[in-house]
Amino acid sequence: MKFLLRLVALFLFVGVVFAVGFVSRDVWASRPPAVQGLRSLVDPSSRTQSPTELFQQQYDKILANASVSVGRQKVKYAAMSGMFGAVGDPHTNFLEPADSDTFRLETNGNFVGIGARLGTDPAGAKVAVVFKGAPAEKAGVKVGDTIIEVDGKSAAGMDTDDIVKMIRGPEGSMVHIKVLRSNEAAPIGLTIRRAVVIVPSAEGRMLEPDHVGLITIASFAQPTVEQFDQALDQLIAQKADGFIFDLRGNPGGLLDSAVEMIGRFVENKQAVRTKRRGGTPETIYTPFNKVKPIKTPVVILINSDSASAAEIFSGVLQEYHKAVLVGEHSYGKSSVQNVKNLVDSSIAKITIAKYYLPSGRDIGRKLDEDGEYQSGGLKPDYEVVPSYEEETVPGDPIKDKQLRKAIEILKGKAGVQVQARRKSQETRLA
Amino acid sequence: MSELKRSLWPVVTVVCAIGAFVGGNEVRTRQDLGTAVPPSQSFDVAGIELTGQTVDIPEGEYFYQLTQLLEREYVEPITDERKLAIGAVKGMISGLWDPYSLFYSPEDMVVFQARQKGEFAGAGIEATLAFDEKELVKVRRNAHAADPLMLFPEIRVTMVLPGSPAEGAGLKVGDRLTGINGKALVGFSDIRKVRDAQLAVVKKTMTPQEFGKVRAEFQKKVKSVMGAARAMELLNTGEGRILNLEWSRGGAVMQGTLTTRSMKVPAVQTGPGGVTVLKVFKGVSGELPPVTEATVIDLRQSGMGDASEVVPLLERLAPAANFGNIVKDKGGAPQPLVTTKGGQRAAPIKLLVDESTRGAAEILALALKSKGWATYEGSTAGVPLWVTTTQLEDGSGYTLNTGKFVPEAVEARK
Repeated sequence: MKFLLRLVALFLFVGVVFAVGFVSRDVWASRPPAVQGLRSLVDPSSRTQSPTELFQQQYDKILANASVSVGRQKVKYAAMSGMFGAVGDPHTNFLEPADSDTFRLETNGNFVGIGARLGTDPAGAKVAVVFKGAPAEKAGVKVGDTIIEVDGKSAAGMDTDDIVKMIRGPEGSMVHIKVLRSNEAAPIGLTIRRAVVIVPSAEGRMLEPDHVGLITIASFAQPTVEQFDQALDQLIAQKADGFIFDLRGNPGGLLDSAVEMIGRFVENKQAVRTKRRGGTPETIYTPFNKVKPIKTPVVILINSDSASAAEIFSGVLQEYHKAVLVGEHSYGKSSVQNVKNLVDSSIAKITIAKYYLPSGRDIGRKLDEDGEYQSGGLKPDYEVVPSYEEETVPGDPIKDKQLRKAIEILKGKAGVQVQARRKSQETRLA
Repeated sequence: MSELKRSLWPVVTVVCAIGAFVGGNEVRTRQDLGTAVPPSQSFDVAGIELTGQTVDIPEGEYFYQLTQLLEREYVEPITDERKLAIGAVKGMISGLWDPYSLFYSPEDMVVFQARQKGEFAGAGIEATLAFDEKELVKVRRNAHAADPLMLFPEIRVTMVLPGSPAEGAGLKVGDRLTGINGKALVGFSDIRKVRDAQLAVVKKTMTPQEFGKVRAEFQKKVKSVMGAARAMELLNTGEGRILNLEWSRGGAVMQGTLTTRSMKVPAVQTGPGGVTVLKVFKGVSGELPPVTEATVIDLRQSGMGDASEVVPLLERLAPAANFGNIVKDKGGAPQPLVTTKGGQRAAPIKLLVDESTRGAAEILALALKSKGWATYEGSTAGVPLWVTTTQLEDGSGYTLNTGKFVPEAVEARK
């Protein structure tokens, strides 16, 4: 009798645990448990189509019936990016393999190639930048050259992306290119050995005659910290009268890199607080013993394309009164993403937390009904908007209004505010 | 013995509990996946680190695992999983890059379905997004290969309802809309103009000064732009809204103003001179009386229409026949257009067609003409596309271009 009772109790227990196992994922995802699903186990007629079945049904239908020729993989990846889009967060994205390469390159800060940045040109691709010490520089590629041929194939009229694909290849292999140079009549043939190129994400130089150190931080990748330190040390050694960090157009990158770099100015202080779903806030502190001896003032240049880690770097230094912000309001991205590499080399980028600056400020971007910017981002201490009418050369102390203003501030001269917009230049890495 | 029994109970309980938990979880997985994936195939999309090899994971499994990943990690709870599935459908449709395969949100679907029944609002037109064909092929192959600037669509007027506000303002089929209420509608050809000028400077067939003018004109235009989706919304919805339109016709820039209003257009109407004005709207076949004597049917300004009305209309207008096939761009098995019932063989029908006769109306016209049961007065648009409509559970939906109608006679001649 006692045995029977125990058996019944065990059965009941097992039933309850089964139900718990059944709904465990709902608890994990913090949503109401799927009681309906449990019920349909007993009564199959009450079963509804699951989301996966709904998707599968439409996938089969679209793939079979569409008139246009699109590959099976393409439709699958288009579906995944649509699904991520349905979450309604602009920073939660699915990147198919073709896009994930570019993304990885941005965060790793290195790639295999010849070490140049290419822009569009009707005759092929125009060399916009040649990286210091990269294979392209060693082989004699010059800024302004137009690449017209790659391994015997004409590049005329091709998309820059396709030319880049032809130039890139395995490490150690050779690529033969022909370039047009303005003062040379005949095209020049060059053979280059492909190698690992570290993208310069932080580059420094001294602006004369003002003797102000300028460090351009293009992104917060892995090698950025080291490059930033080198540039900073050099400028400190040259006794710069002030520092300008150009973070315009910097889309962000690794939070760790940004926090480490803030550590050059503030020691063991709160950098950001992050908050996950349902979790307690987590505070990230700047490192010990990494502060650089900087006695002169710092100005940071930002614009509406400065986002994420760039906003953390600028915002934290602003709040600790270590820097003054000049330019336009920043993008306003107040979230942290987890980047997951999937087996097929796609990437799932998912917003996992919100972050807050030391003051508790949330700089999240707000949009109006038409999707136009309304508020959010860091407000510059000095707003300077470049003008459309006037030629703007980024990084030129005279033809770059925002930089000019930064120098004036460092030199103790205040200027007048003006209106305009910066032209963005699109280039690709090869 | 009782010692053993006593120590056995907890072990059994724990084993059963673990088994039940895992079992419950597993049953749930099966249920969520449903019929999507055979359970023998199992992949861990997110669990394994990048291997660099090409792995082909079945789409159902892929979708399922990514929904699980989002639910676990996303900063806010995802309460509606079905929203993700519908988002995936939207992604697939957009990924086709086909101007006739469009996804509609629940609100847009209401507008679309009303229009299919002949209930119009806004300007009283149908407009279609036109793309650069070469660029579309590239983007379908690989989004990266395409030039994003060349993917800006142009809005082309494909139907102007008689008596509509748009007709009053002077809009005609074939016009390209270039501006609404002072905002520019920038399309690929505007960008190509600048590119061509750039190339001309390189080739020295244009002076830098001339190029400067072209560029300045373009920059002035793009200072205030409107997206195609917003433009379509303004054109297709609303009553009593004033729209200042700008359009181009054969290189000339034209302007006009209209006040939007709603219009109910009957599917079947008797026009001047006893002409039957037919619009291939939803339900039209039920309204069309049997045609027994020589008649004139006006198939103009009918828009893309509703493909599901084609067969019932043919059954009313012609004897049962095999008219031809719906042929896909990508090839594959063609879908025959066959009627099994038929009307009486009537005296020849005269069809009034023009460049606004497209979609379902054009299929109808082509089918009748190819059998020699009708003659054309005018010529059609050349887009006899069979576009189906699907509605999803949340009220959203999509249209899908499933192919072009090719009459049997034409096929035989080939």
